Amino acid sequence: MKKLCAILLVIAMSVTMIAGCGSTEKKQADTSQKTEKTETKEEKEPEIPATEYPLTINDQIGNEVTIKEKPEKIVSGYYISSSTCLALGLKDRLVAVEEKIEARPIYKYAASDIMDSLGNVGSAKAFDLEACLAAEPDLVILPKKAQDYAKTLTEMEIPTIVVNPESHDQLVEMITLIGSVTDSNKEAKALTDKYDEILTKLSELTEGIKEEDKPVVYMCGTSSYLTTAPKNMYQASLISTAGGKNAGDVLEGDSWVDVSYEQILEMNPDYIIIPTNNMANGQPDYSAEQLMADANLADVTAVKEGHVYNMPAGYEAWDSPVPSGILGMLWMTATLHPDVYSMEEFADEAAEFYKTFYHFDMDKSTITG
Amino acid sequence: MNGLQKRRKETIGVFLGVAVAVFIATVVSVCVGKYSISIEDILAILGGSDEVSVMSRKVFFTLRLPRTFMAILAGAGLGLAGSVYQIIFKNPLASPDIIGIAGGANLGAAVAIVSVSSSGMIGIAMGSFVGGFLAVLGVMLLVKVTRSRSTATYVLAGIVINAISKAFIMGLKYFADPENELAAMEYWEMGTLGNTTASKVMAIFPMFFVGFAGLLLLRRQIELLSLGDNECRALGMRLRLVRTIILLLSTLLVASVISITGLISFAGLIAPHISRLALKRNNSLTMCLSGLMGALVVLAADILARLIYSTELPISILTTVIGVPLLIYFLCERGKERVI
Amino acid sequence: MKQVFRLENLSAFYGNKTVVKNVNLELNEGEFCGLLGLNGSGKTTLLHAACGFISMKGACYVKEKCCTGMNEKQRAREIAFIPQVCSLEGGKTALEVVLMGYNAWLSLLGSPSAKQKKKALEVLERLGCEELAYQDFGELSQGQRQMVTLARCMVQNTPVMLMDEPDSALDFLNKHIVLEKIRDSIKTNQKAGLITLHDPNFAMEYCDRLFLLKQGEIIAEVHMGQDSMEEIKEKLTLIYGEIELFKNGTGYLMSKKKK
Repeated sequence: MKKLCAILLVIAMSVTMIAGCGSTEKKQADTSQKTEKTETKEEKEPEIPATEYPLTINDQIGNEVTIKEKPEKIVSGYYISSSTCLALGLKDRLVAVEEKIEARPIYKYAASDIMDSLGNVGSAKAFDLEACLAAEPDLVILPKKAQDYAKTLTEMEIPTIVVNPESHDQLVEMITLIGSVTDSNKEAKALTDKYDEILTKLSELTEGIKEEDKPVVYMCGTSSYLTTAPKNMYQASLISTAGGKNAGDVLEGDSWVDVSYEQILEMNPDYIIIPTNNMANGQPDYSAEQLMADANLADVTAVKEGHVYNMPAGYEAWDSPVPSGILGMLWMTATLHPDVYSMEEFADEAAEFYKTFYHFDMDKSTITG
Repeated sequence: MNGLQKRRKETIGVFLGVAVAVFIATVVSVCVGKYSISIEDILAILGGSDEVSVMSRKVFFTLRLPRTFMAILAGAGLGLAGSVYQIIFKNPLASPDIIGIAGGANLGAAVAIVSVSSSGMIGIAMGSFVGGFLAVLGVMLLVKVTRSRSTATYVLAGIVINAISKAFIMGLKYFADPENELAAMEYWEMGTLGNTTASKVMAIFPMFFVGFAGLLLLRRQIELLSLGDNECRALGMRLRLVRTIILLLSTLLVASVISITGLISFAGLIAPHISRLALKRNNSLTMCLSGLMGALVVLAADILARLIYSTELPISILTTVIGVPLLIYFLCERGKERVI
Repeated sequence: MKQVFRLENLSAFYGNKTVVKNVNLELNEGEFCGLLGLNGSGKTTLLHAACGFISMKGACYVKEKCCTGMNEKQRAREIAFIPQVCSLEGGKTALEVVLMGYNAWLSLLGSPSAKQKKKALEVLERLGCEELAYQDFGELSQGQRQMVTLARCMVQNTPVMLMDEPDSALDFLNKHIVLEKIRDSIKTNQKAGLITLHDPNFAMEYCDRLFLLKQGEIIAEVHMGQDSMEEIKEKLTLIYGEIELFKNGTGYLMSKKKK
């Protein structure tokens, strides 16, 4: 039995190394220090050691933070880190989260019992310091845009870490960081291992597809379908992992770019995807029907063949680097290449993911229809 | 002298009334907040007792007290500056917007938000301060270039600078990233006291004080400026010098406030208006009352901002909600009797 | 008689147009002089130039001190000005308005002292309006306002007083009252005063000398005590055209010639 575990561990480590080397996103410095305890490449032991306190680490913007003891009351001011806490089994240690949780379905599924008792600390730009302090936290997690509030909290001697999950790699980094800080390294590793497993599967599925066979995919913006994602955005990487070509790759920029009808006709995408609009802001301002009815787009392949789809929004924003965002990649693959990976298979995998990490039973018919 | 005594009594009454209201509002403001600190605790903290928890003490001194203090400073500063502008531009609708400070500060903040992504509050504060000053300098330069010597030119130049600022801001908003930068810009435009900490208040207080005290000391000159330009000159006022000093002092005052809080609309417009109508005068007493009224309005708005909704609302919403009905009421009053 | 005020080759412009051409005039101590002319002759421009409101060519002297280069504060200690209408609309008491006259003598941050306040009240008393002192300026009648403005001018305590039709908004009786008070204060305090007037009758009644301005130039000077009736009529005709002059007690009355 031990031998089997060791072999599995070696495979897991190799896959991790390959995935790590293959990424192109910028890595934060000094993260190796904190991953020492969880992703040790030298250790042969199958056990993942617990975190030792006091722990000094660097958060995702390079601040050095010391956590004196295991946090029992966690405040998360960002929907991505809150979801991560749920996935790492920290539900019972969460005392307050960001505002508008009723708009995010994942809370209803995974945390309905604590929804009413959770404190509300406002949004990232309008963070409510007093509400946060009223919850008496011993750990606060904030996104980069709230870093000034983080400074104030640190001045008041509340351990605060700042996270910045802008890409898949940074998401993994954040998960490992939170896992280490909250002594839930086992759960963190399970989650990141799962990512690696899925990514491997995806690359296997799509490696047979030739470059010229890869469909052109146009990801719409949230306020108008005359906006799309250029090469450097998360959504672009989503498409390429799923074996597609991002229509917006020809464009420059780090955020949504406006395009004209002519440009869309020139791109002539095979598929058009309508995003989730991050849920807390409501649904996109237009529907698939409106888009398909638009006479100016009638000649686009995607419209002619009816390949205009909404990214499913019933759980999490799968088109952003959220913990279950990996499912977005799987869904996209099933949509683009149903012959290689069917929607039923996807529904099974998604249900299994949510059962394992969020402990609820997903209704597969919401995916398969 | 009966009329004089009656008026004096009325004036004292009004001042006392507003001062008491400000005091009450201060007390309420210090007691309100998501982190509950009871009144007994507050008294204990002030009394120097050790029985209160460390966190309560920290919240009180780092967040609650500076925030209340900043509300008073912001209101007093905007109220005084608004009163000064209404007097020297002889325009009852004048406010810190009129010579472009608000527009310039807005542009400065927007530039800071978009250009230096990790600048945070310090960068935005500095950007808005510099922007406000540059706007006023731009106005003064325009006036000099047109070689006009009249006060009305300042208002026109202010319109020009405001228009330029708005155009640039629109451009920046268009190219900004809607998730982060655009949201931050819109948020700054609505103003908030939520970011106030003791260190920030300390940082701007010297400049605030210089502007505030300077304007109060120059009250006689400001009163004189309510006359036409020629009359001022005939009475021996060195118009260009005095106007420049007053504009610079008021810019210092307003810019130091809004660099911390963002734009707080209406306070600088309505406080002087109410004061004028309450005292039926437009002199240095009105300026002082305007400062007090401004403090009251901003304190009240900040209290409501924290209480009304489950999360904190931007303060300009509340100052507008409080200000507009008051303004409508006073407009009606104005129609009834002959007021200034 | 000591010369107190002198304009030397004064010219003033509006844009490219020369409105006042080479005016030379002088005022002596205790003299109350009038400046007559039709609309557009440049009366107001002349006064504005002398006060330093607009740029000019030439020189302006008060007691042999050249005022042309002075800044507003220095000038205000030599020349005081009463406008047609005080631009203040309201919100200050009459006393506060009078106290404004001390501005040229106070520092930037200074305020009028109790002594100065007392003096201001005395001036109001002399003009017969001490009961107006604590009333709102905006609630006073035009005549009362001009009295208060005159008081302000007197408090400014300058050797020269320039007045731009201060009587224009006043009724017949008030015109007389105000002009009489102005003349009295000039005589009593040995100042020099120059007033622009529309109506030559008032000018002839209250002024010692008259300067007649036509198209920016002084074309004649009338000495009320010295010139004969024919001389006066001749000079007035230069501006007013066909007129008749009548004797009225010790003075004269002018009216349009009847056909």
